[in-house]
Amino acid sequence: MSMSSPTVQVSSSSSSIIATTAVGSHVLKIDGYSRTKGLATGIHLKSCSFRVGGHSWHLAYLPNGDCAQTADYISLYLVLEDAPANRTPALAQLSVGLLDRAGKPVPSLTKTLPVNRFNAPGSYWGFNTFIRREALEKSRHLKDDSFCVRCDVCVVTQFRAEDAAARAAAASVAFVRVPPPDLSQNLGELLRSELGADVRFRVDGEEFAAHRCVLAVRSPVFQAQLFGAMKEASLSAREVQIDEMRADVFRNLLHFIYTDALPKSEPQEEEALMAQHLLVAADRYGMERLKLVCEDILCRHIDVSTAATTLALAEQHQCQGLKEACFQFLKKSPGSLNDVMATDGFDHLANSCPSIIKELMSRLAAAHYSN
Amino acid sequence: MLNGGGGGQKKRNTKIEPYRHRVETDPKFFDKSWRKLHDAIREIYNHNASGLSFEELYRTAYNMVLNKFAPQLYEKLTENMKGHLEEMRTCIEAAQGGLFLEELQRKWNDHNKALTMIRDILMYMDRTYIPTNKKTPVFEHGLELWRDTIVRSPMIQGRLFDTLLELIHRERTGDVINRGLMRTTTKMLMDLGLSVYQDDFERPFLEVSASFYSGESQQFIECCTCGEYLKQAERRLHEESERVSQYLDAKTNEKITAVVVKEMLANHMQRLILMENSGLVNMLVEDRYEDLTRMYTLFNHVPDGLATIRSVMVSHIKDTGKSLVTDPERLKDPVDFVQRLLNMKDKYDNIINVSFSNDKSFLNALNSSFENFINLNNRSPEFISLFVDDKLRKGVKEANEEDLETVLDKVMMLFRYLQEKDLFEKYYKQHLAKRLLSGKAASDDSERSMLVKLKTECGYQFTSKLEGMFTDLKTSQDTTQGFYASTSSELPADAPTMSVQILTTGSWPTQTCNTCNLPPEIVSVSEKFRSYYLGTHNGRRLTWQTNMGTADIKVTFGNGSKHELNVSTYQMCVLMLFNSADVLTYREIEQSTAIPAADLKRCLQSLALVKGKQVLRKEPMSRDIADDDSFCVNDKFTSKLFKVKIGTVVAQKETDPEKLETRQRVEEDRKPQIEAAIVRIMKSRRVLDHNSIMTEVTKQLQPRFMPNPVVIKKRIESLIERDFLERDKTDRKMYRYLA
Repeated sequence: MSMSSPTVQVSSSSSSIIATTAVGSHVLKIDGYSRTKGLATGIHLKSCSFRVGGHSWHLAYLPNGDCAQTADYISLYLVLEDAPANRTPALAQLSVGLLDRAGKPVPSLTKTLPVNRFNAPGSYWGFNTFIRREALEKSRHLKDDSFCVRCDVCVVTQFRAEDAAARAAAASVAFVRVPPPDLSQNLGELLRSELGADVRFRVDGEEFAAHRCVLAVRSPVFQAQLFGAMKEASLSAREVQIDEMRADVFRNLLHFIYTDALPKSEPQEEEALMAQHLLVAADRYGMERLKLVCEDILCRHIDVSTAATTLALAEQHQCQGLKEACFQFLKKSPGSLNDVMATDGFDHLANSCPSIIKELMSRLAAAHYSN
Repeated sequence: MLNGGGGGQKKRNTKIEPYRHRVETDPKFFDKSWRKLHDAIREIYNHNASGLSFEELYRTAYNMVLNKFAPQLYEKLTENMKGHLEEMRTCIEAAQGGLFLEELQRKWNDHNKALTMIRDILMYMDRTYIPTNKKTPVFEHGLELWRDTIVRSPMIQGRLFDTLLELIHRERTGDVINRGLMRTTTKMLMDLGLSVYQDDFERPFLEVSASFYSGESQQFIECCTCGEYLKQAERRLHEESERVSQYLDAKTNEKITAVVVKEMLANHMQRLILMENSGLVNMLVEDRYEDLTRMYTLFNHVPDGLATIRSVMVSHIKDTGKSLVTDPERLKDPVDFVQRLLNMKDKYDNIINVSFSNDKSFLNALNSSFENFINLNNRSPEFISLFVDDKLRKGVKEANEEDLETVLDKVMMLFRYLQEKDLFEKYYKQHLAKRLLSGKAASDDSERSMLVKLKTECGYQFTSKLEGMFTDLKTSQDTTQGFYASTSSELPADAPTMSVQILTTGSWPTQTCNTCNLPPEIVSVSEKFRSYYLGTHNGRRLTWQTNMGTADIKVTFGNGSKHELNVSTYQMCVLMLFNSADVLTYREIEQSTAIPAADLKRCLQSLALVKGKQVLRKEPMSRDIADDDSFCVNDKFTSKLFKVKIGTVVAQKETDPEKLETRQRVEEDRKPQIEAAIVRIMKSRRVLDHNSIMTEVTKQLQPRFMPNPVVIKKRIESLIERDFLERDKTDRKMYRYLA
């Protein structure tokens, strides 16, 4: 009698641990910022509650920091409100960003912390030096005595096992990586190559080729000019003469039309001067976004030599934010005012915008009495 | 002598400078700039824009605004456009006759094109100065100027709207007009602002339309039938909707519809609906579905329109129904009576379904109308029961089961209208009993189906006794089988076969107990059955109902012919006497059989006086039966049929004395029901006033019958006498329940 032993079949498999997360965000608006500055260091103001990942949270806002060492800063903390279930701590990652006027986070003022444990009601974690108050007050993101911050919370809700096959199926999506948009580069190349160009502009002795459709969709003035009923709209029109504009300004205008960005080849010291010219061009051609971009650049380049000219432009082209920034500059240091008044730009300001001088005087007088 | 050397060209300075707008110091800057724009606008209005430079014009306006000349520019623009419009107005006013609208349209197109271009070259002012200073944007401003300078100018305004209204009038009277031109003109008015269209055109349009349709309706209503008039009104409504979709604003549709509805329908509603020979009543009588549909649809727009139609329909149905149920001629044939009711119900159900959109309010009105007139005839319950009897009898071969089911469902609709459902129950029980006992029921399934319908409608209590009747028949069949199984050996071989129906007292209609003298052959078997039955049912009492029942008799006549006669039990008793006697007088027959006189006479009439069925011969040959009249077997009797059926027991309309008796019996039966209701109410309330008792009792008994207040009062008195209730010591109107 013969005996045979069965062969043992060995199988292998693998798996991985996946952290499942829930994401939420909350926008906190500080309305009446200057009134919160009177609070003592360490005093915090609470936002409304919001729920992420099954937990209730709120933001704590400390306008004068949380201790003496951080008294010059605004502190922001994420606070857990309810008791974690099953005695397990809540795990959350935190990101807080200051919002610009358009409601988008300012990259340089967005801060992120790694995953932290929140053990009990009242647990908090955040930024004791979120932003220096002086920096906030200098920025253009403080508007009408208000600013906004957005808090993004990513809560780990569970850890679960996932076998390799399922993970491979999911990961296959990651093999295909879609690059970021390249529309502006493509259109920029179209401008450079002049491929299919159907209109030419003569500006300050230079010629520029462009595409009627692109210009029309980006500027209502170009649309009326190139698709209206006058001679420029005729396909037989070979060239459009544009007066009272520098060639380099028109070149940058076209660049922005095609790429939605300004070229970066400018020396930094000339950026502000170009921005002045571009702001005028943007207003002339009804391009609101470009106008705001230039306004923003000019807000960051106010100095003795440019203040008067910039203020004149702000008044003439109805740039309220820029105008306010100039007033703040002139009001802050009386020495600056004297220096500005010594420039020939100030004479230009007095000539072209007499009403602004009166307004400036009344503001300075008000500032003087409040001191 | 020096020779100037020529070197290379000097490089151009490209240093960028701070931007400074040039401060315009030329005192003629504005005038020069405006001259450019003014000339350009003139070229634009003269259709010469293709030679203009947008770049130059736009920049000129731009610089004017930058140099704070926007207010002056806006003012100059206004004056300039106004001037051009005044020139246009002159041309429009000069247009002759039919060319007026065309010229207006042409100039309007020119103005719009010019406005578009002017707005474009002044775009910078539109974007900056105008919002800040809350001025009207250039394009809208141009439209306002057109409105004020041209559309509302004294010489054009009246003419424009008169022309539009005249063209509409011509279209209404059959002319073909230029609809495209109308569309562009009204669109112009809407572009100028909805208020321009509404105030300047729509309001007078509606007024003129009201006048037009008022006149037309007066004219038509004098010479048209109602149906023709409504068709015309419908056509006009469609025409006006078509006109709106072709060249008016969509919102006008609701308004012009309201005008046509008011002038052609609402103002003549009564006259139309009640129009002699062609109004609503005639439409109903003649089943004119199309006209009825149109009337319903059109008067749906009129306040109270449908209510009026419904009201007239109700009046008509009540009148027609009343004349039907109170016509002495109709009362002679109950089956036909009910069939006409069913036909009438079908007719109006059809009309409401086809023409009135199955409108619930009309269905309710129909139901209340029928309920109203059916109960005007207090014989309706009996007649409905007779109708059901007719349908449920054997021999109705033309109707199959499905059709029968449909008919019974419809009959139930009539039943629901009855206020005296207990009276129907009484009659139905009688008729059912006759069908069951005579073996005439068509189908057990049909009978039970009818019972289910009645139970569904009125509850178990209503049909429990009727169901008891079916139970009795089943039990009887079993008992008879048991009897013969246990006694077959004791009976003579030639004994007649007997089938017995045992009827539970209370489940069957009350019958007077009249036992006649049965033939000896029958008595012997029936006594054996009695012994058997009482032996197996202790405490029972058995009484023979000889007035109900049938018999089959084999007969050999003197001429040798043989027949089998189907007769009633009474007729059997009479015929059996002639086995031992050749001639008998009426008095002798009466003494021998002990049959009540009325029944006996009817019985003898069936046997001796019905043509073709004269089994007996009578002397003398008269219809009336006297005591001394003599009867003998008709030895000459012949018939083609072997089986001869004599004296069918058929349910018949009650005679007046019978009707009175039935009603008295129903009234008697109501008394205990009223008392039971009073006791139930007082038991739960303990103390209650007189009027409340009246109300509650009526409410409780209403599903079966409408209790008589006098009877309720008497029953209360009776209950007080029997110490169920007592009067309150202080308030004689208050009653107390005594435990």
